[in-house]
Amino acid sequence: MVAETPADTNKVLEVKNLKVYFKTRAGPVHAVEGVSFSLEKGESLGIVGESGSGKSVTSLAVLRLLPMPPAEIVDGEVFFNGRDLVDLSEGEMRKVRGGQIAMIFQDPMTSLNPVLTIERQLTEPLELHLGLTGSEARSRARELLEAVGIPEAPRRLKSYPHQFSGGMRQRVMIAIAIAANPQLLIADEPTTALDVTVQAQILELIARLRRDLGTSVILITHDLGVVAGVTDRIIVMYAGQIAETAPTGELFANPRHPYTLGLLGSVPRLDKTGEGDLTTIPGAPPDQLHPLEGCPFQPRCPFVLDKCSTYPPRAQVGPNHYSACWVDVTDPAEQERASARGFIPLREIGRSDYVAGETPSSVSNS
Amino acid sequence: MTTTQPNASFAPGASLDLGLQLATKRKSQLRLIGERFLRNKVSVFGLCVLIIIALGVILAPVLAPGTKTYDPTTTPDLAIRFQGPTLHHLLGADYIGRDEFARLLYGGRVSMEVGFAVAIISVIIGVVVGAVAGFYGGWVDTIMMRITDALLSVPLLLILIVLSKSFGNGKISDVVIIISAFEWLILARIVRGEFLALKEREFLLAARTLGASNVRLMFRHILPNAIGPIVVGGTLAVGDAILIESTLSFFGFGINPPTPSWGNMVNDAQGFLSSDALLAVLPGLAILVTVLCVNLMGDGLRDSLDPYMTQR
Repeated sequence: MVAETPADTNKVLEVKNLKVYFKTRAGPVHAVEGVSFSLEKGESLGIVGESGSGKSVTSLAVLRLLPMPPAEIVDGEVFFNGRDLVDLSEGEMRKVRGGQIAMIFQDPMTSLNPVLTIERQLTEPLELHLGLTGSEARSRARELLEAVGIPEAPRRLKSYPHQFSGGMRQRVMIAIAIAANPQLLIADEPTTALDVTVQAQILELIARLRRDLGTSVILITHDLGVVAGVTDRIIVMYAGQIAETAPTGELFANPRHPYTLGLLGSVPRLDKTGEGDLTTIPGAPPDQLHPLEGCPFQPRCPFVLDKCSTYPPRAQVGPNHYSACWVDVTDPAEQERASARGFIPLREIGRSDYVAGETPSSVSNS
Repeated sequence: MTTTQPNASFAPGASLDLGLQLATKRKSQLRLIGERFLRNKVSVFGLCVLIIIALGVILAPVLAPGTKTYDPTTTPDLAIRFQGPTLHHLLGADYIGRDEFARLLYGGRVSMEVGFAVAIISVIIGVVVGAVAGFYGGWVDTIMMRITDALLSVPLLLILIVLSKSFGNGKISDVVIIISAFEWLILARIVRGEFLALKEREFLLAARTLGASNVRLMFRHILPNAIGPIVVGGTLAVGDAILIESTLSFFGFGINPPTPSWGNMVNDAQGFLSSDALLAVLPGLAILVTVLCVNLMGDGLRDSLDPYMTQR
């Protein structure tokens, strides 16, 4: 498998069986446990999961930005345009970072350097990857600011980050990220720290740049609402593993993994108030220091079976739709069984109208 | 604004408002720091006194002129021994008739030269050592910091006297090198602490994501954030170096006579404390005032450079 070029040249990124462990005194923490996925040119992929599910670690591992003494890429390959990034030297990796794969982070308040002007920070990737300096770099920086919708770019270039609002700072971060025309943009919770109104603008901006520049996008989030409108495909991660992956519409219309069901059920709904508490997935997130034998979701899963102590194979359940679960959650008998363990089915399965608090008896159609 | 305007903030009206609001607010970082410094009256006083001293020291050849054969700082004139202040000799003359005013000014030159040279060298060494130790951490940090700890545990004056005795020739450059060899330690610790904290900040991860190398991260991304403590540390090093130089010279291990230095002037005057106290008081006062003003200024700089002290 050494230096093998993936046959499909359209694939920008192909991650194969990636395993990342954090070495601690108490033992290895299994942060990413065999994740495989691929991304085509211009495609937009959403990675969804709760805190600690390994979604950020996966993206940082792709860029080899994890602090390497505690973290270790135990196994797996990360092909970017056919080259395995795991084997690259640090110098070659620096050319990939920012030049070919760029990343934006959750909190624009802290990811800009507070003592450098926007111009200095915008010209950094231009200098590093395109060799632009001086007035060339400055005029390109101005174009970039205009491209992300910041008015009065020439004057704003001389400003410092504290003179910008959160949404504007995230725009600046995006401008910095796309400065060297990367083929892949990884956005790690790009809207989590922003106002709801600004969130939509930022997502729209990312979607527009993706269309205009043909950049592939990985959008990492814990918020299903964020990925719904702007991704082609979604990966649901749990405990460092991929629980379910499907085209976006398919995932919302026909979720097949109990964890996905739980996530969808936990989205609060304004139009369904007065029916009690917010819905949660019972139990605590998994302890990655002592991973369970078999499916990691079994202690919290209402559909749990005896055979869940062996890890379920990745099964194709629809076109491009894979789920790692033994149970067919669409089976009414299984739902009946699960409701005894507190499973509250999503009403009207087949539409993105997910709600909790219904009685089990109302779920018999589908 | 209409109801279905998706990018409301791009409407011309909105951006204009924003522009106006920002135009009044935009002041360069340097100007903000300057304004904050000027608000601190004590520090400004310190700065003013320092400027006067510096001017006196720079203009020494004009204020206390000599001739080809007569150097007021070194040529003895036994006729005017212990003379009090006169128009010709503003502060009188010392025990072998050298002009006290001229010696104070030229002694100040020595002090200032030593102070600034030591500060600059210490800042350079301290920043490099501290940056590497703080940024890389691990065993690099451990080794470097144990070395600084060890050096800091040495009785400073003793080792300086020994070094000066063994390697020094009483020249200014020797004194500067010997003092710098120990003065950088504190700066290295300050810088290391700053780097240790700053390297965990998210903007550094962001810069790394852009493909910046370690050297670039250290000196272009982290260093500008640590400039405040470094400037303050460097300022305080000036005062420290002046004090150490005076002490060494007082004990006869610093600047060699007859070149005047405030320290060896006090030494010269010890024998005449009861009869001519002024000869000891004046250089002593000069040391005190200069170091005090340097420290006052350092305090003011610390406050004005502190990023958490926002404009009021």
